[in-house]
Amino acid sequence: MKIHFSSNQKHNFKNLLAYICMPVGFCVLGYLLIYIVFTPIITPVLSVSEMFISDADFKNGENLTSIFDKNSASSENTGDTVDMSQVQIPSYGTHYANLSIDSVSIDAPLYFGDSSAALSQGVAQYNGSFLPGFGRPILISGHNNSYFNSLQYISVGDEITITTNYGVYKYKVTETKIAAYNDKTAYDLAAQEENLILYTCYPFDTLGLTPQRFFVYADKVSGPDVV
Amino acid sequence: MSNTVLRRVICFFFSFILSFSLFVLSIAITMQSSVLSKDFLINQLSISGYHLKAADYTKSSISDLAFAGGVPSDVFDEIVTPERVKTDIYNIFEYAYDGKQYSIDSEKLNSEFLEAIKTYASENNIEITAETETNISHLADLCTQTYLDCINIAGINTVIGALRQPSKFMGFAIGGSILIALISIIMLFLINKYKHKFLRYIAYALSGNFLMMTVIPGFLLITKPYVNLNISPDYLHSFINSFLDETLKMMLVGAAVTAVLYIIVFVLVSHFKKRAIKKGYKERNKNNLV
Repeated sequence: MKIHFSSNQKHNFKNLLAYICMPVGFCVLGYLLIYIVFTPIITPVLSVSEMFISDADFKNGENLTSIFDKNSASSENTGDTVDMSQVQIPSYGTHYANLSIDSVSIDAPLYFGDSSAALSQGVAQYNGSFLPGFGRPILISGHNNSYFNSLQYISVGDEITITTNYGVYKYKVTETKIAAYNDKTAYDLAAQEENLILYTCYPFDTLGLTPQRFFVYADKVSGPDVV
Repeated sequence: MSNTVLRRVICFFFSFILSFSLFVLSIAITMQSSVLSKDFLINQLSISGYHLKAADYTKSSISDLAFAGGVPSDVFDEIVTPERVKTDIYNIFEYAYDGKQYSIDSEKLNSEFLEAIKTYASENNIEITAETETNISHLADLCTQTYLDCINIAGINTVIGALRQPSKFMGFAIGGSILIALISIIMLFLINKYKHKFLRYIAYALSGNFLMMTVIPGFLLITKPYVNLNISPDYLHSFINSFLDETLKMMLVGAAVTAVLYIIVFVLVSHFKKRAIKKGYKERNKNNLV
């Protein structure tokens, strides 16, 4: 069936179409004009802005988070190895383990990343060092007036325990020494063996920021290797 | 090409020119009263509570340092006050807008930190030896540096300097777009014999401008791509976000003003069209009505 429109209806329809199409056309043309004129400016601005915009949601680096589950930590793994898929790699500022030294009554949350915020809440691992079980050096610092104050009483042979979600790691103290804060020979992060290095400011119980550091070195005794 | 078609093409052209010049005018006015305005920026600093958040952050950073140095965090409470932080931050922004560099008196600040530590030591009978004197001085230096790092914004003078560049052309953009808009309106008026036809092209231009002012700013306001800007600390990130939010909202306000004008013109089109029909214009010019 053919529908007939009156000339008045056709006229109204044309008007309505014009009221929709003309503004849309103007908008498209306008944006096109801007794009053509400002391409030399827009392109570099967009490339630079891409450097500053990430796909992930914004996370303030100073906020501390925790992935450490005390209950699963001790029962999770008693074998010699642990699969990589079971290891949750912590992000900067994450409480991922606990460090304890029974002989000197140290029991502290261990954060990944040695920010001031982390050091005020526990002990902190330098994020350029390795996680326990990876067969490489682990560098951990703490303040000498809080969690690492009693580190001054540690002795060779004492046991250090790091409890993670994927296994419990034990280390035995082999040496302690005092070095300058900028002494790069005090530790070797490129070493191919798993050793634990703890350090804090020295001397203990003093006011201000000191130029010396107290180092504790320990070798791995037990704990599953990450494979 | 018939005269009617030619007239429509010319009207379309001038209507588009009017729409675009209105868009340039709206953008120029919005930028002049937002991004390019020192008052707007200072107002945004106040609304977003920038200095309060910055003071908290600075205080917490210095507390962490104090903690590392064996000094209780409240020792520096009288030094890192929200008032001091506010004065320094506002000065940094205001100086940058005036093309100058504001520098915080770091020597004064350092001596205040040093004095506070020494006062704490003497109140708690802590002996200050030559060795601890150096350690205390080092702590005061770091506290001063931390304060400066928290308050100063890297590249602020460059960014504000770049923002101020377009302000030189804003007068030209506003004047030029008003002139072009007026010429377009006059041309449309001269080409169209009847008021309702003339006003219809004005309505097209206004609605085109409304769309241009709404589509991209609205899209940006809904999707907020700038939320994922990797800028720290947190207070700077939230300030930039609220600053961009407000600027985009101002564009939408401009679009709303255009929408109101459009409605008025649309009503006038109907009114003048009815009047023209009443006058019997339709009978005489049947073929030229559209």
